[in-house]
Amino acid sequence: MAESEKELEARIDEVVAATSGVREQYSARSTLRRAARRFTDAPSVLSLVEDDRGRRRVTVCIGVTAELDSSAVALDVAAAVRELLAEGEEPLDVRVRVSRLIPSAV
Amino acid sequence: MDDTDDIGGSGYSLEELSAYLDRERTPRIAAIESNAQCQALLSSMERMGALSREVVDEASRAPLPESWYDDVMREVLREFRAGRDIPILAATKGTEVVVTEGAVYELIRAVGDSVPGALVGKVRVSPHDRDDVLDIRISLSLRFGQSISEVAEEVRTKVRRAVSQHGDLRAGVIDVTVDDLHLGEEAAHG
Repeated sequence: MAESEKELEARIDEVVAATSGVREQYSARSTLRRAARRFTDAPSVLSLVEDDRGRRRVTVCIGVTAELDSSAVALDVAAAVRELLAEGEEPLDVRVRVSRLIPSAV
Repeated sequence: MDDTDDIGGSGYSLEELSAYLDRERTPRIAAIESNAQCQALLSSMERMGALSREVVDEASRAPLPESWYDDVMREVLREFRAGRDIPILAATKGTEVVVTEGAVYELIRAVGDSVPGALVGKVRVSPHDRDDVLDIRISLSLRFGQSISEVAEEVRTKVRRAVSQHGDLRAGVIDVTVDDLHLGEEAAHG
């Protein structure tokens, strides 16, 4: 049976969290979708997998320690997501959004 | 509903976030912990608390009026909204890397506050001639007795370095304005 989007999102969350330099991970869903999920029992996955006319699109939001090059960390995240989904046949777009540059003192 | 009622679509107000911080983030609330704007705001509250303790709070000497903190928190709320996405790497096939405007604001504010004698009041960021080159305006409160030019230059240097740390992102013009003074421990007790 094909893996559901939610299961896939949960697996993506794991590889993103395990990527060196990722300090925090946040919901990639829009404000409206986050609000809607508060009223459901949906599992709290953070990554977002969408299908755009046969093209799979993955969005992840991360927080990186401000002293690191967040673009390098983001590229590592994108590579980890691609590796995870390598077995799929669908074309894949990965969008990594750096939502916080976190001061190291906090 | 105003800006303080629902931070980043989390369903939690500024007051509730403050209470969450007071009880040391327990029990853990997923809607707050997975929300970038809530996390940025909590982090800022913690940093403001630490900075406040560095400033003398004797009412008679009033180094900073209470309203100053209110104004700064209002600014932080405005700035830390995610805003637009700024590309920080040339798009490659199938991979896109962006940083939010809110993340850049948080970075600049933290770097400015880290300079001894400076407390950041307001930050404004606007695109220079390309999306990834940013003109930055910072207003700050200066500890009494510090050199305006030295502190301003240190803020400029550190902000420029911090911004250019992230991929193609660069700082264009950085304007630093000192629009307030406060007493620090040395000035108050010296």
